Amino acid sequence: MEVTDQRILQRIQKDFPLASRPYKVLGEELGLTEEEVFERIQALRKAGIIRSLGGVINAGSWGYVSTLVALKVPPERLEAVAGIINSHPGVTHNYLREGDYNLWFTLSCPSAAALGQDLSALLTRSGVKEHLELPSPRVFKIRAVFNLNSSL
Amino acid sequence: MPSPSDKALLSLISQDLPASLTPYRDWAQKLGITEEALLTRIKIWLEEGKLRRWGATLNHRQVGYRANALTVWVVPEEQVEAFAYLAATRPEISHCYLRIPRQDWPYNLYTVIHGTSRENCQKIARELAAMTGINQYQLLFSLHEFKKTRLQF
Repeated sequence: MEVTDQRILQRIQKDFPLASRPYKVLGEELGLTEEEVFERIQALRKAGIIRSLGGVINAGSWGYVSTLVALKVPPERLEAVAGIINSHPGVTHNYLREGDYNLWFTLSCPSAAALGQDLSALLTRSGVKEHLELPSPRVFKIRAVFNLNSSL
Repeated sequence: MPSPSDKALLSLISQDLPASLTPYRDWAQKLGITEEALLTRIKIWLEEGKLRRWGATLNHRQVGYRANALTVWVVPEEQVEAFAYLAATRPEISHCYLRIPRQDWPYNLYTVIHGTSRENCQKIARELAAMTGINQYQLLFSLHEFKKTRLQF
């Protein structure tokens, strides 16, 4: 990756300028023109290197209730079950992982009651019997900010 | 729950900043408020924790963090605070949660470790184990990402 892109990515993971012309502010900080910062960032978004740009919403603070769920899914059913799980808009993360419990997903809903109902429905539809429901009474850290350096 | 006017702004935020040199002005126009009012609301929400962060979220795999392991630990209650504190100080650990253990699943501390390789993730976990004396843990490497999105408001 080009050094200029790395410098930009290192800078913009947090405190993206909240100013009328944010790319101008970034340009001034990084010694680049507004246009160059703008073009590079949009290119990085198009390439998928930047997954999202703007606000990371704390759903819990808006009343949403979330949980982590793990399923034991036989390999031949993985695609089908993953598809069922993915169909719920409250499922934001769904990963195949190593281990007996191999499908791990997060589910967020506007209330505990909705979460209970929706999870129950998903489990029934997927036909998976063995599952773990793993709610979190406490979050110590959520900070998906990455260190980029030229050795990567 | 968000008010209708909060929901309108949350909805725009869920869709990311528009590709514009003046993205906040664009949003303010859509909402029928001034740019200043919009920026003020965003700053307040950041202070209140309603928004965790304002910036770019990267695809970790595309910036060199090819391995990611949900690492689960059995930590005695009296050591939870100290463990979580140490885990949280490590930049390679992006998430650290306390979760309810279940029958046949005794793990109560969940961390996400991002590394350049499997070995790198394992090394980070070993280091954390050595620092804390917590030796009952498992790395659950991700093999495939079926879905990764954000909640739409």
